[in-house]
Amino acid sequence: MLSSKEKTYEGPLDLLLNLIEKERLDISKISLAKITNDYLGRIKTIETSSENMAEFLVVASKLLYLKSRAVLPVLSEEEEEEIEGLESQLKEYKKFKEMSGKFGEIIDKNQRSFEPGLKNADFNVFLPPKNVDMGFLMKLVQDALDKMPKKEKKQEKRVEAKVTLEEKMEHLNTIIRTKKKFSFASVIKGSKTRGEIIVTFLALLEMLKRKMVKVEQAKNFADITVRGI
Amino acid sequence: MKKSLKSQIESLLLVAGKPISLKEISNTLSTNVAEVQREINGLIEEYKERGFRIIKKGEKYLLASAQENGDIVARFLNEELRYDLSSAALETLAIIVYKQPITRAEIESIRGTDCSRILRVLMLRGLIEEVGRKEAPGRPILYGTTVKMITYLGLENDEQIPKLEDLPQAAAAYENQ
Repeated sequence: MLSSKEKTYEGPLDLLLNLIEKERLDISKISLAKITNDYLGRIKTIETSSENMAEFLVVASKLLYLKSRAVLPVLSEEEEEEIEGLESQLKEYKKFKEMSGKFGEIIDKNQRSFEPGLKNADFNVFLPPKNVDMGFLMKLVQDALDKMPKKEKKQEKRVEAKVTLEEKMEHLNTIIRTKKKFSFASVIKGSKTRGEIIVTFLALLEMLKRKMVKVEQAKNFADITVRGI
Repeated sequence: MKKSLKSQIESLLLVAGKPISLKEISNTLSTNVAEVQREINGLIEEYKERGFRIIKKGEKYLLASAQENGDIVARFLNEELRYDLSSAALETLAIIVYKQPITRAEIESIRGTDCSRILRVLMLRGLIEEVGRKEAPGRPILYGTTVKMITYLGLENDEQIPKLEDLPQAAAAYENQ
């Protein structure tokens, strides 16, 4: 059971660092790959602005990249750099985060010094003019509201339902549990789009990686036999 | 002669009420920088036992109250000693301390997230300031820390700021590079 008040994260790196430290891991490609699932799970629950969310997603895509290498180990040099980048960025970020903790400790010693002239310093305080009363303010608010552009109602558009990787894995898992063994070709026969076939295949790769299934293929492009473990 | 130079410098520091540079002092007093520096170092020693201190950041000096009296001065000023800086703000401040001068984009690439609001808070608090423009497309603002940041931490000069290399893990990370 999660506590009712979830910790808020300052950004994607903060979240990553927290996950890695929770598992007592060092920052490395291996530890990043390990916490990918956790990371993806967490960002689903994060409520933040769309700009901020975009930053969480950038890191998510880098993690998935990293993870995909475990299944398909051929990466271009550029992709390799991208991943190295994330690792060193996280190490760099960790330094400053630790240092900010040190700053906090220093500040908590309550040893501030103050420059002269603060006692009678002019403070910029807002004081409303004398003739302002409630009615006047209400009128200003009403005027401002009237001037606001009206919200246009956008036309609704139907979007095709997407199949997710999780759904497909669940699907394959059910088949395995009832049949012990099935042919991959028979599973994708019912697919409506090419996308769905690809997702089914990715689901199979993921299950293979997680050691949930065994596969056999007689030769290239032949049908694949899937067995449960 | 020596003694009067010292008292002249003392008067300037007192009246300035804000950080002043070695150069400003030596220009005003028509003496050379080295001599002013020597006298200020003398004052710093003398003040160790007093209620005021000279805070130093780079070439700039500020006369301020003694660190150990922070609590009573704060009470007198009705000011919170530690105006709460969020952990995000402290993090951003730490990055600027060690990477200054630095642009907003550079800070954001280290933190991996937007920092504009935090930079505004740090500016309002007087802990950072604009120190110039980067010669790059868009000539972005470069940020640096202020003398006030040293007083906020309760330190005497910028050399007392903990070094990045002193972090145990950071040292290891450096070796790996």
